[in-house]
Amino acid sequence: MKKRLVISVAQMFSMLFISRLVVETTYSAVMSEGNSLWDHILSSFISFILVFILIIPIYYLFGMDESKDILDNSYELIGKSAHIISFIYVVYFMFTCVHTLALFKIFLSNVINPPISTEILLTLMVLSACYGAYKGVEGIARTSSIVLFFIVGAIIFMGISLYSEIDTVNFDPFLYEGNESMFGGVMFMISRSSCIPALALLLPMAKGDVRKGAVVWNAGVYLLIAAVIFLMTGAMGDFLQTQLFPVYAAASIAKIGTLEHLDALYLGIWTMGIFIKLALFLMLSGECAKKIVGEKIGRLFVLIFGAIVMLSGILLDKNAVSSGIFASPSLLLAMLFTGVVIPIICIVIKKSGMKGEGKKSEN
Amino acid sequence: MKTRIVFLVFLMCLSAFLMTGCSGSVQIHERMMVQGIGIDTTDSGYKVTIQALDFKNPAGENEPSVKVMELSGQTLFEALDNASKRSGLVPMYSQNLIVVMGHDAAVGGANHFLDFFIRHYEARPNVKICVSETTASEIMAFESDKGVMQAKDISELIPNEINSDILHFAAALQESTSDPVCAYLGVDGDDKKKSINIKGLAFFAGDKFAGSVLDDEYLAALAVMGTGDLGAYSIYADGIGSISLELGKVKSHIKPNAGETDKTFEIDIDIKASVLEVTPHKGVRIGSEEQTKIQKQLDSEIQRICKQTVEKIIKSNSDIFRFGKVLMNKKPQYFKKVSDSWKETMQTFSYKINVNSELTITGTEI
Repeated sequence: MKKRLVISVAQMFSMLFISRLVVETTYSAVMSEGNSLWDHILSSFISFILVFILIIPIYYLFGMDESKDILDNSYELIGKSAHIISFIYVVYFMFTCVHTLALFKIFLSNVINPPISTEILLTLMVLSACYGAYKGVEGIARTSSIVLFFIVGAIIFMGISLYSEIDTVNFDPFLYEGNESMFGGVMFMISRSSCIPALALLLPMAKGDVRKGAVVWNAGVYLLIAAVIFLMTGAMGDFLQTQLFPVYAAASIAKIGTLEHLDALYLGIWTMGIFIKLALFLMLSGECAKKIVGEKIGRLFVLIFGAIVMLSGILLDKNAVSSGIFASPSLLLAMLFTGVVIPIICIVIKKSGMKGEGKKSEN
Repeated sequence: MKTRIVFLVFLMCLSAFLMTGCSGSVQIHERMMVQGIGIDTTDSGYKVTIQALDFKNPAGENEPSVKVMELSGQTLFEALDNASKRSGLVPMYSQNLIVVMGHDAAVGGANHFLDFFIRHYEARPNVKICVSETTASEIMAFESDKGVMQAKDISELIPNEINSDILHFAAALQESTSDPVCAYLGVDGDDKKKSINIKGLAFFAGDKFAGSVLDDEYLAALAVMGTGDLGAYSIYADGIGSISLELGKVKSHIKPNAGETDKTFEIDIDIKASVLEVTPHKGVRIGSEEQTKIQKQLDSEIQRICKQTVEKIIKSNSDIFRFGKVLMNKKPQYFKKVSDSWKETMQTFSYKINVNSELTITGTEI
């Protein structure tokens, strides 16, 4: 059965662009485990190429039958045993949600220190995201188009205002301390590419030129990361090392004319981005659950997953965001398994099945 | 349908708990909007002088009064926290405009109190920072004929171009080779007519105050930094008289040479100078010959004071001009060898100043 194409490729990549951006704009020397941020400009170029390589299996599998996502393919190939694949994706998408929520929590407690408890704010955020997820991919896609407009506007504004503050002496020679920082940056960027596994489910829902969309999305994400690092390093120098969220600090010094103190603007836009990411990944978890328990009860699972994510986010130690299970190697393994290994297995089984059928028909 | 209605009613009831308006927030009249913080050290810790806008006791209609409070504590935050204990108001630091370090506090080291201005969630990195010639309280509690000089007016004395703010100060401290620099304020005049003035720049070695550059040295330091407009400068040229110039659009470029025999930093300074006054007025026409003469004289004087200033600062073990960082960027392999002992190595370098001024004659002459 051909899937109903519910969103455009542009909308799909808008959602994924925002999802990448909310994580990438939490860049700091602290988050990236002490690496030199300046070398991460090189990391962004390497990651740009790597992401293209990593999405090849998903794109290839999608090309074999454009109406099927990774789960449809799995159920077709191994029958009901594919429940385990659905479960793996549920766990991965929820894991991504908890990681995002942990970032939001550390941001709230360390930078904002709001007068009301972070638990209430986290609860409200997850409730809103659950509502977004419950409304389905069309609703999230439409909202993300609006959010993207604000994000791009804010970034252009910040870029213009910080450009005049750049001091070229702040730019260290590349790889001054060796290439460890650069590889650390690649690890940081690739491990947080949860959009690659998300593509495995989203591609059949989108209509349009996927290849063109992927190029624009990937180039946009990494150009933006490189531009943000360039502006932050140039304008703030080693002050970056003192900040947990340097983009937020950069927003607070950005000004054009009488417009200044834009940290509140950044806060609002970033929160909108967090909402999109949580809603998208909760929706994807719900889609996976539907494959296991059926369409009707599956929708309710968004709420159950939301509750689990919320509790995990609340109970999680705020320092866990870049250590333990959220350290880059764990995130990378999880991403590679769901985004690359499972699609490759599907391709191999599908290919061998086709060969078998071919031989049978020849006989 | 029934389930949907029940769910909607549930959501409406839930929203009633969330629509609590501003009941938990702090009203503006309950706040003390901190505008300036002065830090002095005492035997037992810190004496902090704050200037804050008090909306509870307004000075006029819609005009908050300026409150000056002297607080003490073992740490900076402990002292600041006493402000709310004494006034019953909640301090708000996001509107702070200036941090003044007392001379002794700066000598003791900025690392003892700077963390608050980097770490606190209400602190902003573009808050101006300066050192007082005497005490910070003298600046923060300064009273002129019109009453207390407001923190806003004090902060406006410090030009934005000199980057005398927390961002650049903390960045220089964080950088292993460079040292911080900031504005140096003092009180001038006799008892009847006193005023706060920017006297020059305070330079640091690490986090500790190492000295100051005043008058011509201040101008020279700004020229080496390539800081925008230098303002008025006077020279004397034989046969012409005393010439007042306005020096602006200053650009500097540092070029390191780190050969076996030639260890030099060449500092090229480009200045646009306008002749605005020639005294005594003898009606001397400033033709091309006179222009060349003025230009040569200006270049030579700026070169002299710049060299003197750079050497003075380097001798104080301070690298406010970021020579180390420039060397690291241009000659990374060489710098790696000397980075651990950069402060000693920079003393062995010679500093060559090349001034290139472009003269404009204003007024009636062509």
